[in-house]
Amino acid sequence: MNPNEAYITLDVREELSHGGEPLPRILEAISALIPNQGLRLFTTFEPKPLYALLKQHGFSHESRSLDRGEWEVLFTRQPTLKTNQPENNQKSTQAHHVPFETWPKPCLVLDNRNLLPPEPMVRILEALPALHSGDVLEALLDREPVFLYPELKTAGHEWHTQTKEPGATLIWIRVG
Amino acid sequence: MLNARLSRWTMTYFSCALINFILALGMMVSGHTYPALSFSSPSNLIAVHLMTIGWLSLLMLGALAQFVPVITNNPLPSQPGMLAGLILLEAGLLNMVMGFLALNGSFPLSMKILLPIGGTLVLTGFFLDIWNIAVPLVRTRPIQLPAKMLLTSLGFLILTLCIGLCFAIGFGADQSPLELYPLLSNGLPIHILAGLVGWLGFTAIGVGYKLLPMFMLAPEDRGHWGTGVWGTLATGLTLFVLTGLFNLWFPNPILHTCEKLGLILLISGLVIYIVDITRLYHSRQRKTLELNSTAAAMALTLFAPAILTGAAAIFDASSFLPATVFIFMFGYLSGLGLSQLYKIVPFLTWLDRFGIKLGQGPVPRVQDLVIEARAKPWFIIYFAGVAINTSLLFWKISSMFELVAFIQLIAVLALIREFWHARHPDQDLISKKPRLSPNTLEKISHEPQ
Repeated sequence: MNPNEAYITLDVREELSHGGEPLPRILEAISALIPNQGLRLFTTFEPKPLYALLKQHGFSHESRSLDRGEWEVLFTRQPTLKTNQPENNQKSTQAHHVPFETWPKPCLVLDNRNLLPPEPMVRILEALPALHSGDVLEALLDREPVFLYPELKTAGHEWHTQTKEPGATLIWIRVG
Repeated sequence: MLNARLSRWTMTYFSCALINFILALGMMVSGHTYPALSFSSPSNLIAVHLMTIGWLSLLMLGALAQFVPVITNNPLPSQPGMLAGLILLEAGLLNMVMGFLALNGSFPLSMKILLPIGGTLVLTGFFLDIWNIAVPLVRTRPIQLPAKMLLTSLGFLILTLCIGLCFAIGFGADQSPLELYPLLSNGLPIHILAGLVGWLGFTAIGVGYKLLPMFMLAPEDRGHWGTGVWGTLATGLTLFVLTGLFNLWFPNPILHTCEKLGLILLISGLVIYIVDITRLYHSRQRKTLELNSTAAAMALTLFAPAILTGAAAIFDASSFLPATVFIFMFGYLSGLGLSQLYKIVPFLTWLDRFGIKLGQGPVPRVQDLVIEARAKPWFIIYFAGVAINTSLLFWKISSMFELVAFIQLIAVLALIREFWHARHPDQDLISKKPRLSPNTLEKISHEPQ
């Protein structure tokens, strides 16, 4: 257990005892975690299938057997590349299935600051077709590119955005 | 986070707003409306509500429906709700206009009952839109300056609506409730200021603080200046409106002094705003301005005399108030609205039509959708018309007012033609060559991982 990690607690024992399916709630809780936050999960059985699933999302686990066959599991975010890890005061948005920490280094870096909208997103969308599937493009922007996201989703790309400070947003796009 | 989609009804709001603007200008051209006469004359009330509800409020609401999800990264709760809001607002406005015509003698007097009916419809429409716009704003943390301004403006809108409904009940009922007499006799300045500055002014300032830096490459973070603008304006206007309302029913010299203090704070806040917006223009990185920013500068230039006449109106309302209201409504609010439409319409059209085609073939630039050289003279003519008519109102020269209003109307129609062209780009634009050059790719690395 990482002493610096804060854990959000989710207890699905009652839901399971009523025959409910808590997986959507668990995934929702995982996606809502901020950096340096983990998930403490209480279940009525050892959730082995969940270990593999959350490993894909970059989480390791520590499980502990409780009374009456119940389990407490701590899911902890695995250490990531320092350069890509948002600090507490940074805002981060993402839409990707492959863990961001496992993405390759960017093969194309664009400095799209000081351009009139929508030029920053134009340059990104015009550059993407030249890349291969799995390649990563990195772009530095003045602000979060909210109009870009629907276009990326339509094209099947994944992205990860970090706003380090006002006027400096980084986006990584993994070509789908 | 797929929250930033194009608003389904923004363009419909803009279209309805522009039609109402033309109708209001038409009333001035035809001589049915002359702002130097009493604001409470029925024909002036028709034009004022066509301007404030029909044109400016629909314009602001249409813009907010598009930009609140963008600045908050949260979607509106209901797109159909925005359409229902628009229908209620337009139906309510129509009823109100017919109610005013009944007061005017153009319709049977019994039809003045349409005033409270219209007022209720307008109130319902506004509340629907307020809910839609406020939800993403309050859900977002931290609440940034433009969002704070918008939430404040929505608060003043609710206050304006409540006062307005009291007026509608007072004028529309056969026997006005006695309790409303103080408001009906002396409450109009409170209604006007809460609506014009509290709702429309705050919204214009808040949206401007987002759009102007974005399209001029200036710093969005306004620091203490921005907080000062918001704090001073909000405090001043709240003080004026609340003490003013209390003073109507419970006259008291202390309340009267607080009312004046509120107005002085309000004027101070507007001066701070003008200074900060001048700083913003000076700190821009884009030295060559596009027409939307130049036209916005024209509107802001007319804001300065509006503050001066507004300050003078504190001491001599009858001489200065008509000119102040006119220049604020037609110069600052309408001028800023027209200038931002000149950017928003092609921008949204480009996103709608061409955004999806990027990387798949040639697409035009946003600026290819407009012809600035053709639109620029009309902006100049419009603002010149506003300046001349403000002077005519100030000097109470009525003879030329209708002619200048006609020139304003022609300029607005010409600008609407420009918006139409931007919304319906020619086919030959679509066949433009791809314009990405290799030097746009700043650094390429193919190093193995």
